Amino acid sequence: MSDDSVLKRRLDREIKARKTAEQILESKAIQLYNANISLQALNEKLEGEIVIKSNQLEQNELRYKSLVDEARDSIFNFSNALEISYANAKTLDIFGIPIEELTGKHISELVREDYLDYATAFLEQFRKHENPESYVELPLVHKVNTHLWVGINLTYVEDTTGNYFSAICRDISKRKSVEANLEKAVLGLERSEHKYRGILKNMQLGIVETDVERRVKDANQIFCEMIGYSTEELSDKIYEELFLHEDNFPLRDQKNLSAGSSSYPIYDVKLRKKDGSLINVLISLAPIHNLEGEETGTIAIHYDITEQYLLQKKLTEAKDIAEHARKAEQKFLAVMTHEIRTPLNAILGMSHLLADTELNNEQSEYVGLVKNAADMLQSIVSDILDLSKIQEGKIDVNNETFDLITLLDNCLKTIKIKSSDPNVKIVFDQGGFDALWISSDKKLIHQIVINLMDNAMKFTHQGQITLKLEDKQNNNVRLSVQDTGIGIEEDKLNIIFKEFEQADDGIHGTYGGTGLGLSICQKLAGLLGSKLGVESQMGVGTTFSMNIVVKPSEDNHQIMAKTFSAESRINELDILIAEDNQMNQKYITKLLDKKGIKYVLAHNGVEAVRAASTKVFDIILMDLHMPEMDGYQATRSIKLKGKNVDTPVVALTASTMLTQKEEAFNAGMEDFLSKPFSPTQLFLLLEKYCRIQVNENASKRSIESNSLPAEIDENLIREYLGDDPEYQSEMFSLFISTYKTEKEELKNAFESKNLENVKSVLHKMKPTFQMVGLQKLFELINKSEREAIEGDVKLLTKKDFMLKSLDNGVKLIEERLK
Amino acid sequence: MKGIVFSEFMEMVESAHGYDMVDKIIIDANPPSGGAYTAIGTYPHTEMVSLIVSLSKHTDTSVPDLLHTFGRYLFDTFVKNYPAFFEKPKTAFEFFDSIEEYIHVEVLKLYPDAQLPTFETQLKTDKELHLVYESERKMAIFALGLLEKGLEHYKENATIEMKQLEDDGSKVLFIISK
Repeated sequence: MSDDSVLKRRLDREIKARKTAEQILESKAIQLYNANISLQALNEKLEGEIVIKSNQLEQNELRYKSLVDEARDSIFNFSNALEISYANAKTLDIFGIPIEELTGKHISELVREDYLDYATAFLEQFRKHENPESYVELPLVHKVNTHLWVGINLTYVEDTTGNYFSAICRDISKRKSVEANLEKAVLGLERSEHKYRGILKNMQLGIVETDVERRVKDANQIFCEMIGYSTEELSDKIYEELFLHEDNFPLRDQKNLSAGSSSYPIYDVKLRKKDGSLINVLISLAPIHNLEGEETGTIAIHYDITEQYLLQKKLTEAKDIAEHARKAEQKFLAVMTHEIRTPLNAILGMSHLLADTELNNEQSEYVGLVKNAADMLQSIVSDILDLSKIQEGKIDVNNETFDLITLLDNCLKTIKIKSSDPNVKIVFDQGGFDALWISSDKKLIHQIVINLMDNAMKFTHQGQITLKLEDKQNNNVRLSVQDTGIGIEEDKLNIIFKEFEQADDGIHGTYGGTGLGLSICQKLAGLLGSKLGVESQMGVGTTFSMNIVVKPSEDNHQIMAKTFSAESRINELDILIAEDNQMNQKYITKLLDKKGIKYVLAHNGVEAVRAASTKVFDIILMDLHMPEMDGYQATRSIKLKGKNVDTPVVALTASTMLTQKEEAFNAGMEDFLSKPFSPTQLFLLLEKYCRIQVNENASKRSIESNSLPAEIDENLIREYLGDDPEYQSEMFSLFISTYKTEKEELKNAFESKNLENVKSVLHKMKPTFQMVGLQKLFELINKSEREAIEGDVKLLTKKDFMLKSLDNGVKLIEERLK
Repeated sequence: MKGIVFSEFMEMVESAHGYDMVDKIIIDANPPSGGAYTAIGTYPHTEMVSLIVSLSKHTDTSVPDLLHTFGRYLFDTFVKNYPAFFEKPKTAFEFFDSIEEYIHVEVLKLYPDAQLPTFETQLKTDKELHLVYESERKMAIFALGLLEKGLEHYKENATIEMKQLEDDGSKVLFIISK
C-alpha cells in the first residue's frame, strides 16, 4: 500500500509537473508568438527606415555628384591602368576634350610628352604610398593652349569597388607663365648684370662705396689696381684723407647732393696713389639710398684719365703754340695791309687828283697806267684779306633794307670807270623794276657784283657784259652777270670756285689775277644764304647768277615812299674830317669841294675832339691811326658828351682787319670806310647817314616812278615863236607831225637797245621841245642824251617813262592847237 | 532556482536511494510546490534547502557532502544536455574562464529570471587559476563538485583549495593549481 501510495503520489507529482510544464510551455509559446509579432513589426519598421536611408543616401550622392560636376576645379578618376574612368564638367574647360571622349583615355594621351615619364613614375610611387607628395604640376596636351599647366591633388582610393586614383586638378597656366616670365626676367637681369659687369671691367672703372662718413666700405679690384692699395688697406679709411690731393675740390661737399637730383656731377681730380704718385681720374658720384630713402652713402666711379690728361696737356701746349702763331700771322697781315694800303691809298688818291689836272695825252696815259696798276694791286690785297676773313669766319653779315637798283647803279658806275675797252658795252637790264627793296648786306652784294663784273671784263674782248635782274616769282629775283667772253670749258666749271684756281693755267699768264675772285664771290653768296651758279659755253660767253630774296611788293612801296620823301640838302651838310695823312686829306677835301659840301679838317684826335665841341656836324669821318690821340679815343670822347653825341662817326682806315672793326664799333663808331675808297663809296656813305642824295641817278629816281608832268612855258614860246598865233599854230602842227616820226625812231632805238641811235634821235628832238615851251621835257631829253653819250645802259630801261612823258607834253601842244 | 536543479536532484536521489526516499524527503520537507518539479519551471531556493536538509536527515549524510555529490552529479547532466558549452574550451581553465563570460550570459538569455552566482576568474600563472565564487545561496561546496568534475571532464589533474573570503560563505576563493 505504501508502495501504491508512493506511486500514486509520484504519479500525481508527475502529472502536476507535466501540467506545470505544459502551462509554462504554453505561456512560452505565447511569449514566442508575441515576440515574433513584434519582431515582424520591427522588421517592417527597419525595412522602411532602410528605404528612407537609401533615398537619403541616393540624394546625398546626387548632391555630391553635382557638387563635383559643378566644382571650379576639374575632378576626375583614373584606374591603376591610368585610364580615365570619370571626369566632371569642369574637366572639359581645362582639358579641352569632351567628357565622353575623355573617358577611357590613357593619361599618356593627356600629359605633354616630355613630362610623361615623370608623371607615370610619380603616379606609380603614389599608388604604392612611397611618395609623401600628393600634389604634382604637369603640362598638358591641348589643341589650342600650348602652354597649359595643371596642378593636381591626388588621392588613392581603396574600397570595395576597386582601387583607383582620384584627382582634383586646377589650371595653373597663368601662374606658370608668370613664373616663367619671372625666371626669364631673373635670367635677363643676371645676363644684364653680367654684361654690365663685363663692360665695367673692360672699361677699367674703379668703383668705391663709402658710407655717410665717407669711410670706404667696398672697392673693386680695378680701383685697387688703380690706386695701389689692397681692399683690406682701404677698408674703413676716410676717402678724402687717403687719396685726395690737396689741390682738389673738396669732395666732402658732395654730401650735400640732393637725393632727388637726377644728374650727378663729374669731377676731374688728382688722386694720390699708395706710392705717392698722382693719377688723374674722372669721378662720378651718386648717393646710395636705403629703402626708406635715407642716404646711406655714396658710390664713386673712377675712370683713370692720366694718359688722356697728359695727351691733353701736350695738345693744349701745341694749341697754344698754334694759336700764338696764328695771332702772329694775323698781326703780320694787319701790319702788312696797313703798310701796303697806306702808300697804295696815296697812289690811288693822287692819281685821281692828277687825272683831274690839265694833262697832255702822254701824261694822261701814264696816270692811267699808274691808276690801273694800283687798282690791280689793291684788288689783290683786298682779295687776300677778304679770303682770310672768310676763312676765319670773321665776315659778319649786316642786314639792312636798301634799294638793290640803286646799289647796282653804283656798282655799274664803278665798273664803267674801270672799263676802258670800247668794244665791250656794259648794259644794265633792270628786268622791269624801278626800285627793288631787299634786306641783305649791301657791302657783300656790292662786292660780289663788282667782282663778277671785273671778272667778266677780264675775259670779254668783244660784245657786252649784262648785269641782269629777272623776276623769279615768290619774292625771288635772279641777279646775273652775263658776258660774251671766252667762256669756260665744261670740265673746268667745277674748279673755278676753288681758291687760287683758274680754269686754265695759261690764264694767269694772259689775264693775271690771283684766282681768288670767284672763290670769294661764291663764299660771300653762301654767307647771304644764296648760291653762285655758273653756265658757260666756250667762245660764246659765261653767265654767273645768284638768287636774291626781295621784300614783298607792298613793303617795297611803303619803304620807297618813306625814303624818297627826304629832301636834298647837300649844301647844308657840315662834315668833320679827322685825318693826319696829307695826301688823304687832299683827296677827301677835293671830292667834297667838287660837290660843294662844307667840312672842317682836323689833323689829329685832339683837334677832332676840340672841333666837335664847337658845333654839331652831320657826320664825322675819323682816321683810326693819328698822332697825339687815335681815332678810337677821339670817338669815345666825342660820343661821351658834347654837341656830337648822336653824330654818326665813320672810321677811315687802310686796315680791314675785323679786330679793328670791332674795336671801332666798341668805341662807338657807326660804320667803316676802308681806304682807299672811291668817290662813289664816300658819297654812298654820306647818302646813308645824312639822308641826302648826292648822285644824279638817285635824284632822278624820285620823278621816275611815274611820267613827268607836262607843262608849257609861255615865255619860251614867245621867245622862240613870237606873238603870232598863226605862226605858233603852224609850228605846233609841224612839231606834232615831226614828233610822231621821231617817236617811232626813238622807240626802235630803245627796243634795239642801241644807245648810239637813242642818242642821235634824242639829239634831233631836243631843240624843238624847247621851242614849243616844253622846258622840262627838253631837260629830260638833254640829260638822257648825256647818259646815252656816256653809254649808260640804264637809259634803255627808261623807254616807257620817256615815251609817256614826251606823249604827255605833245598832248598838251595838241590841246593848245585846238 | 531553476526547475532542472530540482528535477536532477530528484533523479539523483531516486537513482541512489529509490523513489521511496524521494517521496520521504518531499513529504518531510513539504515544499509549497508539492514536489512536482519540471525542468523548465522555477522554484524557490528554500525548497531545495529543505529537501537537502531532509535528505541529510534520512540518509545520515552531511548537507555539505550532499551538496558536493550533487554538484558532481549535475555536471554530467550539463555535459549531456548542453554539449555546446563544452566544445569550444579546450582546457579546464578555459572552460572555467568561460562560465561567467559565456555560459551564464547564454543562460540569462534563455531564463531571464535566473539567479546565478558569479564566478570571477583570474589566471595567475599557466598553472594556477583563481576563481572567486559569490552567491547569496552560499553553495560553494556545490560549486566545488562542479569544478572537480570539470577537471575530470578535461582529464586534468589539479588541486582545488578553498578560501572563505566572507565568513558566511557567500564569497569563496578557489585556488586551482596544476
